[in-house]
Amino acid sequence: MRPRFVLQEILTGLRRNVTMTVAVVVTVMISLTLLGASMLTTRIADRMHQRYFNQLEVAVYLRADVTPDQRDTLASTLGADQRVEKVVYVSKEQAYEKFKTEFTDQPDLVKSISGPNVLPESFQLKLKDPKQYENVASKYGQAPGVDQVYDPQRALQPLFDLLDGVKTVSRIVALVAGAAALLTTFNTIRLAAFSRRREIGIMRLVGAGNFTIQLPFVLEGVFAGLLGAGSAVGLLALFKGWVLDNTLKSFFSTGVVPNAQWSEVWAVAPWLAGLGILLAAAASYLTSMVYVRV
Amino acid sequence: MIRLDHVSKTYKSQTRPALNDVSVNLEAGEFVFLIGSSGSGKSTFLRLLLREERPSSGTVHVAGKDLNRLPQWKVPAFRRQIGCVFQDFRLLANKTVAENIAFALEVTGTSRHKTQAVVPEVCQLVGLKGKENRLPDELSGGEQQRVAIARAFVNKPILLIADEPTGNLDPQTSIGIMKLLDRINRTGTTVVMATHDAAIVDTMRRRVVELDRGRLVRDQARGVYGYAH
Repeated sequence: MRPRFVLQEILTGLRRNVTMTVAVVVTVMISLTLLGASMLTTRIADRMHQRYFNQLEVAVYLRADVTPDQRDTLASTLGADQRVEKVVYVSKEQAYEKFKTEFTDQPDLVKSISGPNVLPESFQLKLKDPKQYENVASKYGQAPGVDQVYDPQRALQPLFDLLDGVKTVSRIVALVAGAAALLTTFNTIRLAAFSRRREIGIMRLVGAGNFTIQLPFVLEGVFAGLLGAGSAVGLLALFKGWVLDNTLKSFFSTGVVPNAQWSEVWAVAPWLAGLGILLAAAASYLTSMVYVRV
Repeated sequence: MIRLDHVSKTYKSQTRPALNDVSVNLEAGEFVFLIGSSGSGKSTFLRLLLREERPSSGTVHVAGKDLNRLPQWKVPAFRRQIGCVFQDFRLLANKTVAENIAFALEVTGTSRHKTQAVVPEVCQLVGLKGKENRLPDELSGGEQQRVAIARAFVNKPILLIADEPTGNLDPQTSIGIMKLLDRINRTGTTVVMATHDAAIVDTMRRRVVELDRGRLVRDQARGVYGYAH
């Protein structure tokens, strides 16, 4: 098969079937956009997890006017506490360094902290059983020199629930839209096969192979899938640039939930493109096999 | 070239066989008329030769191949040895004469170089020189059939199957088509032609195979269309 001839056949096919091709592109775009959104959300949630949970689970923040005696007493009682697996002391300087590395993606936030003195020193605890948090908090919350006991997991749980919800919903809608995209592809190829039945009939008679007969259909599918995936990536980029970076700017600048990175958008793009092309090509191939029997 | 041994074919939805115990042997290089009224089994006969259908019983040999045993993936290669012409021409309306003929080569993977060399040659042979860039709509019925014959012949088939090729043409034009088919036959291509056209059969005086309700009722070396009609 000559490439020019194949290309011509594809263009003819696409032109004849413009409305259905558009339908395929749009459904593929919707489903891949949502899939991409769920992938981005997963990455954000992972980053949040790392930020908050790879550090020790419970922080006992000390008052600014804590005395060295109080600090030593706390250190020894915490160290002797059966429920506490590990105690790490974090000085003001260490807290500041950590803060700077964790929030490198938000220079504004880092700048807002003038220096090590702003952040409190703390004991970071790892509990043997995280459920013991309540008891630990009530015991040390009132101890001399302690400002407050803070469990990031507890505080952030609603946000994680929200991200989980976003992930689940976008996955379900992506799945439904994906099913719609597949059905639309089936229908498109069926129509394409119908509108090309004369060509197909002649191809069969003159002895064209299955591959030759099906290739234009598969390539039409690939083309539509690629276009859909491209639009999906474009839509995600638009969402990132417009909604996340502009409309929701103030929300992310609090630093609680990390914003999606451009590198993450580009990392998701090839997956979407691959999936779009693969699914569209497979659907086209299978459908054309049914309707283009030699 | 073609051998049918006790071939019967019954279609799924029907009880009466379309072909009933037909045995016939057609030699290479022959020109054979296949006659019979509508529903006599001519089309089924031709479809079996193309392996568009398989017999319910019996064996079909074409070009040395037992079509019952020919695997599906070898069917395209098999069909490249056979040219086909139909009553309704089956041309692609959006392609020119040259493109219609080249189509048969392009979809079977012939190089562009060869296609460009062969198409004008075949146009010349079928008498369409100078009309290569016309669309089928701009041609007469006879000319359209010539395009179809050119497309069937461009792969240099060893067998040409023609299903009522003159069915849509006036007698004068039909004679031209028959002369063309005769010329193709003289190049060594076996021609099997199903027809209702008594005048043509009577003029050509070639081998006549007659089917009647699925049975082979006559096989005559230099036959006429017939007495019973």
